[in-house]
Amino acid sequence: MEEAIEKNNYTDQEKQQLVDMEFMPHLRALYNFAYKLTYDEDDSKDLVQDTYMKAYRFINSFQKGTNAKAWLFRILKNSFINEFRKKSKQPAQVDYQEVEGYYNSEGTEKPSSTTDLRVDSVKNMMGDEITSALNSLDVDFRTVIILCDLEGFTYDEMAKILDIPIGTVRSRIHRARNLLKEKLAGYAASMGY
Amino acid sequence: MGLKQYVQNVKFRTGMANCREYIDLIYDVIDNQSSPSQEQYLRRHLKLCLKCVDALNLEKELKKAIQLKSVHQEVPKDLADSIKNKIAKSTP
Repeated sequence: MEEAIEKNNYTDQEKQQLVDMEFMPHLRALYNFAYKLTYDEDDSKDLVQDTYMKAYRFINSFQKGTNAKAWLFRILKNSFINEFRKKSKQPAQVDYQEVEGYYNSEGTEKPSSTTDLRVDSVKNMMGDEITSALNSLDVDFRTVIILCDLEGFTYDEMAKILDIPIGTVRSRIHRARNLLKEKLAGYAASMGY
Repeated sequence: MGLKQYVQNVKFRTGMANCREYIDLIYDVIDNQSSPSQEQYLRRHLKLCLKCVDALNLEKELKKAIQLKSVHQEVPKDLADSIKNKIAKSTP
């Protein structure tokens, strides 16, 4: 998904303006995204600082007036994958693109979204239950729900942020939501909803 | 538009799609990724299918719950200043 990048030559003052007006307003969203990826305050701070430093270093690649939030999220996601994921002693990840390819292939029966979750039980759930269910998802599934539902990115923007085809974005969201519903159905049953 | 999507659109237009395919359309609609004609196909199907009405309501409620009930972290007070300082130091 390589795109031709037109280089700018911003002055120091223009760079400062871009940071203040275009980048800094997204600090809260970026910090929350970082926290939901790392679950650690110090790592989140490092990741966000690293994101802003990289954004500044490559600021001439940023086109004024384009989607700064999507650009910053993409930098943060790449930093997380390249540096933080390597550092953390996570077990080997499943290659979901492979799994998604399998589910998307013709003639393959998709897993059914069999949940007995009801609208009323979702309405009655507390924020902690929703957050716990979301946090319990694998990072790849958690990420698409955060980007789509919390941050309001379009599928096209998500494809660019995550560097995956739009079809993969779609199938990953479907799978993520089905997994989330399964988790929440478990909570609902245990709470007697 | 890929071939798969073209075929799916034909199925929606002619009312030949099954409920599982309408679930895909429900996601597109709640995520604001659908065209007006796709929304029309879904509305037409919902008049005939209570199961998909329930599915749409559940997906809408779930999305709303994620948006409104997810716990947000407070940004550390010193983070913005620390970023600005680092940027200032890196400027020649």
